[in-house]
Amino acid sequence: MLPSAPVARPKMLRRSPAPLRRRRKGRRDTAVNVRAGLVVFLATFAALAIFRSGDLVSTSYDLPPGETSEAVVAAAETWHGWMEAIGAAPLGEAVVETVGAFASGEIFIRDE
Amino acid sequence: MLFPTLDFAVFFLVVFALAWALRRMASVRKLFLLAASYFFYGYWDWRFCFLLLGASLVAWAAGLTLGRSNGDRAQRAIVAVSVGLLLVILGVFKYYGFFLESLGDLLTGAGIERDLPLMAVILPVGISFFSFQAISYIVDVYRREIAPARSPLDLLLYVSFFPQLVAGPIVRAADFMPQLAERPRLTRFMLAYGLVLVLVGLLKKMVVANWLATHLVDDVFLVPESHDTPTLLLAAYGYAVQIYCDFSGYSDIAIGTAALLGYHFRENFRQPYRAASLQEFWRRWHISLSQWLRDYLYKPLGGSRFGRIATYRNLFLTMFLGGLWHGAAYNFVIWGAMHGAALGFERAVRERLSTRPGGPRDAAFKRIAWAPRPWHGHGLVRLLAILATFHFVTLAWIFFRSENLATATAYLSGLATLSGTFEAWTPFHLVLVFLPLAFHFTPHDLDVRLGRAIRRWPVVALALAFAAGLVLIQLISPPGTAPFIYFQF
Repeated sequence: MLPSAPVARPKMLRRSPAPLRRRRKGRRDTAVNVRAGLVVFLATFAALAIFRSGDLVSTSYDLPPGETSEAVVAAAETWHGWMEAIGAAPLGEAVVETVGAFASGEIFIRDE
Repeated sequence: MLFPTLDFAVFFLVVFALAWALRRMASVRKLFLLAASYFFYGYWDWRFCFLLLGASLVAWAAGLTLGRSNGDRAQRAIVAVSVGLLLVILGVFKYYGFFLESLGDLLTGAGIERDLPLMAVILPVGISFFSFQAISYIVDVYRREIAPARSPLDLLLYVSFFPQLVAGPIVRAADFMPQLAERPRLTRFMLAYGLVLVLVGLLKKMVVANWLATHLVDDVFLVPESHDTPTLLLAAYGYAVQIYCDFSGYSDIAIGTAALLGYHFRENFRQPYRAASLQEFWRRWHISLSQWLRDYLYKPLGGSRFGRIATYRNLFLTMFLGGLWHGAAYNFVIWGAMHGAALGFERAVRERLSTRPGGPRDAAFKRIAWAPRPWHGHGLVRLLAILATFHFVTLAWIFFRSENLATATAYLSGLATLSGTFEAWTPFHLVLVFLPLAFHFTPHDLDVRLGRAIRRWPVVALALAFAAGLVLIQLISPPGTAPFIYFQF
């Protein structure tokens, strides 16, 4: 059997490993960043639910009447009660009141 | 669906998660984004989705026919018919009521009273913006700047993509459609930059614009006769800031949400109130519309190619029609005419002063009128030019904001009385009006720098910062959700 010379792979089929790695890394990075984005959004929803729990109650009252809506309203009220108990909802309300007082100028009026 | 609402927050969370889950299936992802965009638009009134679909299909069919026809005359006819059709649809919805009212007034004035067929025509949200995008696509295909889209999917998504659908920025097909052909990526910078823009946009809209509207501007513009000069002046400044924060806030959120979905939009506002000339102002204000008017109206009219008089006429006509586009009312027409006339005047002064293009006077004029930094070159002269430009723009906004011509006249009369006290100049109002103006003199790419700075933050820090920012914006904004000013256009 005659020894055969090694056949070079056609140039077109060769792939430089660097761009491939970059592409894989790009895909991996995108997946990581999407997860990061989801974490950011979910954390924001949680923060809003904690500090603006009163809004949850008022939003739940806007739902169309029905058994499910009643359950949602009850859950929202319970949640709001908890947030009031831990002091998160009053903190949010205090900020709202302070801004309101600044807007109306009351903040600059000293109590006699 | 308004951006600063719980409905949009839930909608965007779902779209963000599913769009990225489908990133390896290009066509399915586009189809999903298209369905989401139609859902977003149909949330106001589902019937208008047919209008959006119709405008998109007209543009798609025109593009395909243009690609297949060879003769210039045939191509011109296709452009004329398709653009004409889009303009007729836009005209019917925007100007039907105004036309009938004016005709009624005219007949009454001539002593002929007639009951005209009164039909209430509701203006579909964002009709101008999607019509303009469809027109720009047809003209760009005709000018061979882009190839016609083979699949209707890309074009439908380009016209209806929800972040820019109802109030811009007006995205060019040449910018957006190539992005649809690529596999979308979300880099850490895009994530950070998108989040920064969403927060900045919400701060501008929900806090600054909404407080100014509810606490100062709306009351004063409702009955200008019952307010004194200092209050009228503050409210005029207030409206200049309100419309900037309202509109640029929308653009920021649009650009930010597009970035979060992996698409890049160009900036639409670049600190417009630091402009030292009207020409510079229009390069900084609603950049996508200014460029649209330049490319599809000013240049086809002849631009500056046919002598001075024709140039002034074209400038005036472009701004006049730009004013008319905002609404079929005399105050918008006056607003556009004021800008058109002033732009022509500014150009005439420049040509008079700098007799030799490229000469020392011309170079000095350019440094004053368009400087990269606020105090670049002729500091004091540029400062005075900035103040003059800002006050002219604010004066024109009075016509833009007033309900009718009588209100605008009453407003200007009140300003001219030069009497009253500075009671309305409270610390709260001063902060709302002058702090956003002060931000015009910070580096223009502050949002990009902030995005770059926070991109290396750990995810937890990013989440805490964004959540805290959004909760704070919610807490310090006035109650209720006001629609964006530019929704009506």
